[in-house]
Amino acid sequence: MKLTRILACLSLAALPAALLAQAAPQPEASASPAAGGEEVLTGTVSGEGEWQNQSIAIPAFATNADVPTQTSAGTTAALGFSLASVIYSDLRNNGLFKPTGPASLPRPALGQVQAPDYAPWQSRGTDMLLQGYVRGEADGNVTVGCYLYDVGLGQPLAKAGWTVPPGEWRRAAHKCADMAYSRLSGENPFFDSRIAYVAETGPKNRRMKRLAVMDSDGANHRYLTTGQTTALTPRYSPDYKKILYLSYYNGSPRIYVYDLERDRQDLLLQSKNPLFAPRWSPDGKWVLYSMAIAGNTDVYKMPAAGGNAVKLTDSPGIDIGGSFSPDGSRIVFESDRSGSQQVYVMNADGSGQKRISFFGGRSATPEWSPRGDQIAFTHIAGNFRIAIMDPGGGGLRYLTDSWQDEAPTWAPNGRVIQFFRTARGSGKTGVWQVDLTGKNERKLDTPVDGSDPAWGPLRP
Amino acid sequence: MARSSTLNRDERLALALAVLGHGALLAVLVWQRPPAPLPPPERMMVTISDEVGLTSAAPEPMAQPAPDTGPVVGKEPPPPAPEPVPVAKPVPAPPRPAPAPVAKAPAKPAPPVKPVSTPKAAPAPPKTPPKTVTRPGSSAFDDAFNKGIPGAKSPGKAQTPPAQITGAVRSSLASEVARQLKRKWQGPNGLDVEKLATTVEWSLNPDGTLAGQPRVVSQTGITDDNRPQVKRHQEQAVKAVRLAAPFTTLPPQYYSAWKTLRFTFDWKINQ
Repeated sequence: MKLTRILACLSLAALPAALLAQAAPQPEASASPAAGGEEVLTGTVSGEGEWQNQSIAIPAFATNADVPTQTSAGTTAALGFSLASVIYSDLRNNGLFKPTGPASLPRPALGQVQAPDYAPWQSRGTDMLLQGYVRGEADGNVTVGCYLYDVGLGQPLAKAGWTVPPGEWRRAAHKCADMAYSRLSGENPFFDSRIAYVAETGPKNRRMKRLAVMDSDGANHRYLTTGQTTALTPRYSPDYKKILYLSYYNGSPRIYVYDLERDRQDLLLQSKNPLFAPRWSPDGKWVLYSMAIAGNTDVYKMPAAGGNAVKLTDSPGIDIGGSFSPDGSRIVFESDRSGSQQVYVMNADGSGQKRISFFGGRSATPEWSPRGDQIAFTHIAGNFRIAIMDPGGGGLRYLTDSWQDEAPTWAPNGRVIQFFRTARGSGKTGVWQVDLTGKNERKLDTPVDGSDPAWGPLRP
Repeated sequence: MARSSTLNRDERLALALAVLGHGALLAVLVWQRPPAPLPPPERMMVTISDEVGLTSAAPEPMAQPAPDTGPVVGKEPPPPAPEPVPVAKPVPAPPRPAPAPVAKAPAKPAPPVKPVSTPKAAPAPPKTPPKTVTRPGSSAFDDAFNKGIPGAKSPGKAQTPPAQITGAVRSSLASEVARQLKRKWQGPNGLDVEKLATTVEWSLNPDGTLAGQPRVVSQTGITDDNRPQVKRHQEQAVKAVRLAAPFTTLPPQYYSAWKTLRFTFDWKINQ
C-alpha cells in the first residue's frame, strides 16, 4: 500500500514532465539491458481489436454546505449535480469514454473527494473516477475543484480548480472535462470553446440565415443577427472578441466584424462585386477574402482594421477561400485554374503557388488545422465527403461518407472537425462533428437547422 | 471472312453465346471480388522470443537425452547441428547453458574435439560405439566413458534445477507472463497508435511481486500523428505490468529465468 502511494506521488510529479518528454523523447530509453549480464525474459503483448471505451465514473460534485448560488443551476448541491452532468455529456459524446453520470452514482462526501475509497469503485469495474467539489463564495462566485483518479491503480492522475462567476459555471465543467480528456487521451483540450454558425429557417427558396453562437456542447445559444440580411461563413477572431462574417444587404455583399464585447457590428468591406469567405490570420491582424471581378475571382488580404487590400492570386480562373497555416506563413486556398476545383498552397505574400490535391474529383473548402499537421477539405466525387490530407498533399483520409458533407472547421485541438451535412431530398442542414479516426460522428443539437459552423479557439 | 462463311447460323449463334457467356462469367467474377473480404483470421497469440530462440537450440539436446553423461563434446552433434559449441564450456554449465551464437558453429566443426571432454561422456541413445571409434579424436579413454558413469543416477533435470532452463521453459514462461499482461493491457486511442510499441522492463521478487517500479526502456513507431499518445502508451504499458502483478503462477524453481522481464506492448486495430 505504501509502495502504491509512493508510486502515485511519483507519477503525479511526472505529469508535467510528461509533456516535456514529448519534445525530448525517451529519456530512459538507453537504460541498461538488465544489469550484470542477467538473463532477461522477453516477450510481446499484442492487444487487439477495437478500442474499448474507458469507463469513467462521474458522481455529483460534493459541497461543504448546500447554499443558494446565483447560477442557473440553483444551490451548490444542485450545481454539483449539474456540473457532473455537463462533464458527463462532454465525455460521452466524443467516443473515447464510457461515462457513468451522477444520476446513477452516489455523491461522495466532501472528505472523499481528495481521498477516495477505491474499493467500491473497483468493484463497480470502473477504470477512472472523476469527481470534485463545489463551494459558494461570499462574493457570489463559485469555486469548483476537479480530481481525476485511476481506480485500477488506486492513484490520483490529475487535479485542478477554478473560481468562476456564477454565469460561467458551465465553463468550469468544460474545463474539468478538458482536464480528464487531455490527461487520458494525450490530446489538447477543446471542450471549453465556442462555435459560431449560421442558423437557417424557412423554406428552401427563401431561407432566413442568421448568425448564431453557442458553447461547444450547444448550450448558451444566442442569435446575433435578426435575419433581415443573410449571414454567411462566420469566423471567430483568435481572441474570441469578434466574429467576421459575410452578409448580403440589399443584394450587395459586405464583410462585417461583429464585436461581441460591445454587441455591435462594424462594416469592414463593401463591394458591388461578389465577395466570399472572409477569414482571419492567426494573429488577428489580417483578413483574407475573395472577390469576383467579371468572373475572375481572386484572393485578397487586407488589414483587419481596414485599409488597402493586396491581391494575392492572379489567375484567370476562380481562386477562393484562403485559410492561413497556424504560423501565418502560408495560405491554403481553392482554385479551378487546372480545370476543376483543387486545393493549392501559397506563401502568405502570394508567392510559390502550388497545387497539392491530386485525388480525382474536385477538392474544395480547405481549412488548415490549428496544429498545422493536416488540411481538412471537402472532396467532391459523386457525393461530398469531409477528408483530411497533410500539407504536402499526401495521406488522404476520408472522415465521413454521406450524401453531402461540406465546409470543415477544426476544433481548437485539431483532433475533431465540424462540418454541415445536407440531407438528401429535404435539404435540411445540420451541424455535425467527427474525430480524426472517422469513427466518432455525432450531430450537434441546434434549435434550428445549422450550416457553416466555425469552431473558435480554446477560450482564454 | 471466308472462314466465317463456313460457319452455319447455329454455329455462329453458339459462338456468340459462348462469347457472351464468357463475358458474363468474367463480369460476375470481377463483380464478386470486392464484396467478399475474407474475415481476418482469428488472432492467435504468438510469442516472438528471439533471444530464447537462440539459446534454446543449445541446451535442448543436453536436457533430454543425456543428463548425467554430459554431451560428447564435439562428437556427432545431434541433427540440428549448429551447436557443437560446448567445447569451450564443459558440461554442467551453470545457469547459462551457452548463449551460443549459432554463427560459431561452422567455425569449429570437428577438430577441436580433442580437448579431452570431461570425464563423463556418452552419446545419447542414437549413437553406437562403432561410430564413435571412427572419429578422429576418439580414444580408448573416451570410449570407456561412452556408456556413462556406472553409478550415475537416472536421467533427470531435477538434480540441478536452476541450471536447466531450456528454451522451451523460457518460452512457456514468457507466454504465461504475456497472458497475464494481456488482460490488463489497453493501448490508447488515436491516429496511428497501432504503430507504437513500448518496451517495459521490470524485476520480480521470488514471490512474484514487483521489485521496484517497471520502467520504459524503449519505444518505437512514433509518428507526428501519434506523438500525443506516446506518453500515454508508455503509461498504459507500465500500468498493465503493475495491475498484472503479482505474478504468482510462475514456478519458483525457474526464478532465475523470470527475475527480470522485458516485454513489448502494442495494440493492433482490426479493420
